[in-house]
This record gives sequence, structure tokens and C-alpha cells, in this order.
Amino acid sequence: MTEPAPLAIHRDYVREEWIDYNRHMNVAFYVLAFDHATEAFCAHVGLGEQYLKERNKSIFVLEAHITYDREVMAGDPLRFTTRILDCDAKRVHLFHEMYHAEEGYLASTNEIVMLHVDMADRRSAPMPPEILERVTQLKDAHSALPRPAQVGRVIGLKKRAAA
Amino acid sequence: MSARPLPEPAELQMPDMEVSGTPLFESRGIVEPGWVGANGFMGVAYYVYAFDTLSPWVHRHVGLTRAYRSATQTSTFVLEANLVVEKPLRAGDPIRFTSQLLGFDAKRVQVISSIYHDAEGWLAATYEVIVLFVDMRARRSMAMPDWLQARFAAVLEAHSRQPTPPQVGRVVGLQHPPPF
Repeated sequence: MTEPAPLAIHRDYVREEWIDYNRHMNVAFYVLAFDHATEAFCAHVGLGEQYLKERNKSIFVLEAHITYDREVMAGDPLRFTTRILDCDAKRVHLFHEMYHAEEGYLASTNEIVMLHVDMADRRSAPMPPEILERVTQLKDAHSALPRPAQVGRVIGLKKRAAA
Repeated sequence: MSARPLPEPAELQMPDMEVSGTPLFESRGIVEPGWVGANGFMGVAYYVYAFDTLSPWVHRHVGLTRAYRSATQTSTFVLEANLVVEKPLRAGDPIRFTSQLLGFDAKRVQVISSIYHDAEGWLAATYEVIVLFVDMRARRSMAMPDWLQARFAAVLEAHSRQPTPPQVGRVVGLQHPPPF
């Protein structure tokens, strides 16, 4: 089975309540918009709301690296792409890109590690084998893609004088 | 890029880092119910929200208050951020923030902030950022005035004598075991 790679399964728009005093989307709400893209990915591989509720599981983001490449304003339409960089039994390492859906520019990237948690003891737990297999298939398909420049970045003042 | 003159806020006292109890900037808050998802955990976006709204941004301590930025039509934009969650926070938890200046150049500042559970003392998360100084008339980066860079230099001198958290320079990936 061939998947379109990277995944392009989520769209959104910039809500009024995501705007701050600089009149652009606030840093936290980029992350909220990306979190919705993570939920779309989870639903795509079988870790959707119904699964989490029935199995008493949850998804928790442990680490996130965000590059804020360009401003977006209230009402702007957004489209997201998602690639799976790595996974193990309990965790998925993901990379999202956020684009302005009409003008086409890259607005932001978000690299995360998400953890599968058993809410019975609030500790990390292995994903069911059929879901891990699905995630691994995507990882393998995405491994053929060129590696985005923003993956694996370290915060620092050496590179990048943007805006 | 032409730096327009930005007056030094005369009324501002530099924080006295030598005699204060803690050499890092500190602030406090509480985990709001709206920051917590149905699973009872504080969501990733709200860690960033908490850091963005409640942490003691070094900028405020050196004179870049909201009022000053508004009066001079300048602002600060976050260019890049790295969040590491060590332990989930829950609604109502009292929280304490610290911010440590790690470096700066003419236009950019690098800071790491930490959130601790204020009653139990454990580290909940860290947030390392690069912040850009922006001329809001042009909505473009601009060099910080000399007085501001001098204040950052003074803060960096004090903060560089403190240990840096091991989360500085973290790369996202599966190389770190899950904390819970």
C-alpha cells in the first residue's frame, strides 16, 4: 500500500482568540494548532478519541521544537503536513509543517515526541501491535523523503537571522 | 537596516542581582483549569502559553516592558523554541518560574526558563527560546540600542555564574528515556 508522503490530513484557520497584542498568532497557539495536527495523525493511525476512551489511554507530548518562520494573521487558512521520523513501542517522533494554505509559504515547523500513556497508572505504555505496525509502515515510507532542514535543530544564536 | 534612536527608560532600576536572594529572575502563578485537557494533564500548547505569559522574561527586567514597547513601537518575536516536559502539571498546581539569560547578539536573545511545582519543588518543564527584537513600524528585526545591549551584558555576566540546566541545547528525539 502506498501512502501519500508526507501525510497531508489536516487543515485549520487562525482563530481570533489565537491573536495577541502584536496582532499575529501567538506562539502558544501555533503549538495548539500543531497539537490538532497531532490529533489528526493519531486518528489516522487508530489512536483516535474512541480508542483512547475505550482503552483508557492518552497521548502526551514530551518534547517540542518549534521554528516560527513567518507570521500568520486572524482568518488565515492553514494546511499541515506530517512525517513520522521515528517510533518505538511507546513513542512517536513526528515532524509537522504549517503552511499558509492560499499563499503557500511555510509559517512554522513543529518537531515532537509523543508518548502513549495508560491512564490507569498514568505511566507510559506500549501501543497495541497493530497500531505500532501502522506507524512503522508510515515511518518506513517517510524515511525515503528528504530530511527537512529544521529536524534536529539545537537552539542557538549561530545560524539564522530571519524576519 | 537603520537603527532609530530608542531612549533609555530613565525611571527603570536595574535589578540588583548581587544582593537578591536568587540571581535568576523569578515569577509565580497557578495552573488554570482551562490549560488542562480531558485526561487531566496540562496540554503542550499551555506549557508554552504559561511560559509566554507568566515566566519572568529577561526583557521586562531590562526595560522592555509592554508600556515601553508600545511607546516606542518596538516588540519582541519568538523565532524558535524548545520545550521539554519532565512531569505533568495538573489544574490548580502552584507554579514557580525562573528565567536565565544564555546569550545575546545585536538583535537576538537566548533564554531558558523553567517551571517548578512551587509547593513540592520538582521541575515540570523547561522552555528554551530565541527572541528577536522587532521594529513594529517596519515589522522587521532591528538592532537593539546600546543601552539595552549593555543591560543584557550585565545580566549575562550575573547569570553565566549560575549552572545551566541540562536541557539547554536539547535535540528532539527518542534518545532520552520517557520520564514516566
